[in-house]
Amino acid sequence: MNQTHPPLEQLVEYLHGELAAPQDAAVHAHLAACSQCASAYEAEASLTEALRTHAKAAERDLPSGVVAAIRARVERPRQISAWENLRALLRPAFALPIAAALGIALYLGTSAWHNRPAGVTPINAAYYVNNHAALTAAAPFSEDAPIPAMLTSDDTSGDQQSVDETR
Amino acid sequence: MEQYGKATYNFAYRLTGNEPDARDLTQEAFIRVFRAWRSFRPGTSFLSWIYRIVTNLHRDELRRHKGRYQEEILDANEPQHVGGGRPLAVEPIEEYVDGYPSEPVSKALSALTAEQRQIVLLADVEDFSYQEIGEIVGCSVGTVRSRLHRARGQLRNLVNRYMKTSP
Repeated sequence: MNQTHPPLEQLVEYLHGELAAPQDAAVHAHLAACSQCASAYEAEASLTEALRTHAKAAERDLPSGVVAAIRARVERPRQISAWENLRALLRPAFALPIAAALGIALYLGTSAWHNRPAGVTPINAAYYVNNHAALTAAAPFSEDAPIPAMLTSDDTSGDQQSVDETR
Repeated sequence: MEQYGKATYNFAYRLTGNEPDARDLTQEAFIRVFRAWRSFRPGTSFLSWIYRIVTNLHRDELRRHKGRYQEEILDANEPQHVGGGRPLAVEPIEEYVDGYPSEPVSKALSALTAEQRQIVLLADVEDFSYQEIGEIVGCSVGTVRSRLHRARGQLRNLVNRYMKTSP
């Protein structure tokens, strides 16, 4: 007979079938030979049996209202609160693209702000009036363009004379 | 639901000790199952999954209302009131179960802490392995062993005490 008595925990584990095969076999052999341990094991086994019998005696059927209530709640569209909506938006699948889009928009916005023209000079209306000739001179050969004064002045005789001398 | 509803309801009833809480727990557990159906891994035990949901809901409920989930048993070993403040229903069954009168077993079970009651019921009544119990209650197999040993020790003492005091 094995004189080393298994501890109570081991007897409970044996009862629950939780021991590895070699330990299980050793406890089994010990119980067959040791009346003291066999008695302790029987006490544990009867406690388990009492619990099972008590549970079985107190067993109840599932109330029919439970099934109906579950079906009603499962089939009813779930009302989503504002907080749940917000939480759904804050989920990474939604929040990351939104954050990325905001980041890009912010980046482009600040770049455009920094690269903007230093300032637009306001143009006075008098500019167009005073510089009208210059504007028209930009297209000197148009039919409506006035003939420049240098071409219509009388002071052209000298120039004509020099042309004649070259002939 | 037809297949697992009764087992789930009875487990919830044994945990809470009263019908309204057991109904609520069962309903909420099945609703969560329906909503999280996609997260269920084929090949794993459905019963373990739904028991885990029931266990978590019960623990959350006790923490929310009483903050006594892991409270140690009272010195006087008086039955505790669990289940949303309602007194635990004790329904004596006037018969002896395997050497133990049923009423002391029922009273002793109700006198355990919710955590102890859970682990005893899962191991001795529902016949889950320690590995499965660890997954259901969210702890290691070693913790299951130590909690179960402690809970059974308390239960044994309480049953013996109530047997002596019962008329």
